Amino acid sequence: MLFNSLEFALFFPLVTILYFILPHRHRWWLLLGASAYFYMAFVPVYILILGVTIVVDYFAGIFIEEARSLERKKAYLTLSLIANIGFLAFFKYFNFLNSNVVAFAEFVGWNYPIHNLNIILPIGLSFHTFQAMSYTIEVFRGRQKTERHFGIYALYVLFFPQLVAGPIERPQNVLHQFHEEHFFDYQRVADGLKLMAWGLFKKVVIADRLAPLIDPYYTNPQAFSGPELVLATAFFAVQIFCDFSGYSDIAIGAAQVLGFKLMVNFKRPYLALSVSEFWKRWHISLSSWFRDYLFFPLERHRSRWLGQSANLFFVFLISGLWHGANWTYIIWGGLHGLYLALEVQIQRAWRSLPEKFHAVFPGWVLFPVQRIAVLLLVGYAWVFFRAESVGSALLISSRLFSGWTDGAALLELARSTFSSYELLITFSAMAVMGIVHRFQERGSLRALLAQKPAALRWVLYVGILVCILVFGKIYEVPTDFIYFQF
Amino acid sequence: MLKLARNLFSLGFLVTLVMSLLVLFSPHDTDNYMAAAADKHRLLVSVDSPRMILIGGSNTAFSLDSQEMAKYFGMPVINMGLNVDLGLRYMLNEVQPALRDGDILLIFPEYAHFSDIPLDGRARELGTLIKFCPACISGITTPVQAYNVAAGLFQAAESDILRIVRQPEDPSPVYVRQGFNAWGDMVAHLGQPAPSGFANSIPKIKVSSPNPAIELLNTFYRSLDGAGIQVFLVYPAIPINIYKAQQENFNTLAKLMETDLEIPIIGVPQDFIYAAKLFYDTTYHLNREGREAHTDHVIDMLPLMPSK
Repeated sequence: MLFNSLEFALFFPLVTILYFILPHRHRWWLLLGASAYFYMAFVPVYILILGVTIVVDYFAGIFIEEARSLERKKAYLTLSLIANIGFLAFFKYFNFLNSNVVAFAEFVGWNYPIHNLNIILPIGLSFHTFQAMSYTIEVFRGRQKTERHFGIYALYVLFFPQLVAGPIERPQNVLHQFHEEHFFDYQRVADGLKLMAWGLFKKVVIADRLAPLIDPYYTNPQAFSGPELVLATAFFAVQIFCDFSGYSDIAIGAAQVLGFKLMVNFKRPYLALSVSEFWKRWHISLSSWFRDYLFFPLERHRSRWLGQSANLFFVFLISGLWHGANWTYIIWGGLHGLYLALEVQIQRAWRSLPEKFHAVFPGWVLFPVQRIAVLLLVGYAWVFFRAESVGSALLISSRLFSGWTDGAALLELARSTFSSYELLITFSAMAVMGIVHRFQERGSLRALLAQKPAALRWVLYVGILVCILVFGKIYEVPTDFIYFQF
Repeated sequence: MLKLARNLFSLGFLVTLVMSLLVLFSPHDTDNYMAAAADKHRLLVSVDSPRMILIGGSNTAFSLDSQEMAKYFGMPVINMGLNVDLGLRYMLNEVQPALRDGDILLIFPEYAHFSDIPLDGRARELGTLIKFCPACISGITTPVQAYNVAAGLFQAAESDILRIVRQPEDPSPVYVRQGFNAWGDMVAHLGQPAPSGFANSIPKIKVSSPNPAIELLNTFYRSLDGAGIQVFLVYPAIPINIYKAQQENFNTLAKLMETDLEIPIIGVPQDFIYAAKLFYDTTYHLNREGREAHTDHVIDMLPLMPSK
């Protein structure tokens, strides 16, 4: 079930009302049933995969906790990880690996008999697999007590607001919340609903309006000049942010309405002053997952020749692979790994560089320059993320710098862009988002709004809802969130 | 919880109020193509019977000469064709209460009606239609249609609001209310050069059996039993290359229609294929020469004699 669908508009209020009507001891099964229904609205049979991993990890957690020796704990953890990664590998990576082996076999003239399988990737598999893995790892590390209530554990994996695209939660943050009784709190519910509305605004008014404008450029890049491809890539950067952060806002808001606090997933990433800061602001639940469960262990066993930069590069390659079974995603991850590795090296070589720069240039000069540099680096990496193949991404890369000397064509592009009927709305919505981000950077927007007259607040709420109803792409078949495919 | 309910109700009321004001008072584009629905509806309820009524999507509007047919059959011909996305249910619902003894109804569905387009139509088109033709609400009979109208009214408000900011740069000379003649035929495209970017394709036809569109047509036909109304279904005009590209699908649909449809069918899909040069801007829109040829062909194929 999509958050931007009519079904969810009926499903969520119904679940919320029932949730607060039911006594606390019965709420877990309501949420579990609702979550299963939510997931089965996509492809019902894939609930079985989730069911198997839930059973495996539930018992793995118990066995790990009860095991007397470290070796046994490790064995149970390994079994759990193999089961989780095994499902992920089979459904997400089998065809990718097999295609590469087929290509290699053809290249060297081998007779390779295994064909690709006709399998569909279960929606959100990477997300709930990682969330399940964090449970057994944390139990192994002794930082989380085993959850003995099977229903509650299943709910930890299945909880519908964050089931298909995160935030990827940690057991310490969420599990205990399922045991706690959540009372109806007007302010919390109202804040959750506002966050949901804001997320929906970003998704249907900005991301979904931009999507059809970008598609032709990436489907047929050879037909477009450098400035046009740069513009399309800039639009994609906005689209993917609004699509994914919009999803996260709805997820966090929905959970908040029910009384749950999920981790923040985005903190205005395009305002970052460095690539490392970008990753502290973008898809925080995933970057912190990789940090805690891959990067830190690698760092603990860092070899002399394999330094921090190499570890960063490796982690981001894996992060790219996590996103999709395609070389484009691996290169995208590799580019970010490269940026971060270079950033580490530059910081080491010139430790006093930032201070020197700050001494010469005031912040209002330096920060925009830094932000533009980060945007250019991140934006270029998006080319690989969005392109349909590596060949297409390389073609786009090769064309990015062409066509900039044709003044008349540039003027025409600027004229058509800024006079476009479709973009007029999108640009206005983006400007609203920019203003909101500006206030959020300075502090809590909610606190700021609370100081304003009620009439002004109501004008804003009504305005956002009217914008969603008039300008949002909500009346046709709802579009998937980009990150659902991962 | 009461406070939340009260505030949500207030919010809903304010949003509805603002939306209603936008829909009612934003500047309407009075020459909108869909505004022709009001003129056509007026014809439908005012022209005396017996008459011939043509219904369908824009294929009917663009590709038939109702005056030529009127001359031949000696009765007034009303062309109700407007837009495929209004959905087959609306097209049938709109004419049903207006049909009288002696009327002849020719249905020109588009192939997408049996494949992709929901029976209840699409939101933007239905909403825009009702905005310009409130009397056409009689064609809205299902909850899905009602939802589509509400959603479409909101969507239509989008273009109206944009019009406050800026007028469209290059309004179409063809897709306007003034482009229709007094009997509902689109005539503004006649003699116009074909615009660039000719959409010479239609989506792949995926015919399901039992087909909901055929069932709807049968129900409609049965409801007219004994009312003295003749009903025929005529396949729309398409370019020969489109027919060849999906010949098997067209034949599958034709076979299904032969077995399942109770309404008399005029010919088969290949009877209404024409050279691509006879089309104006899309697969279903014939130009002047094509329109003449198609109208003559339909007249020839109808099992009807001139009344005078």
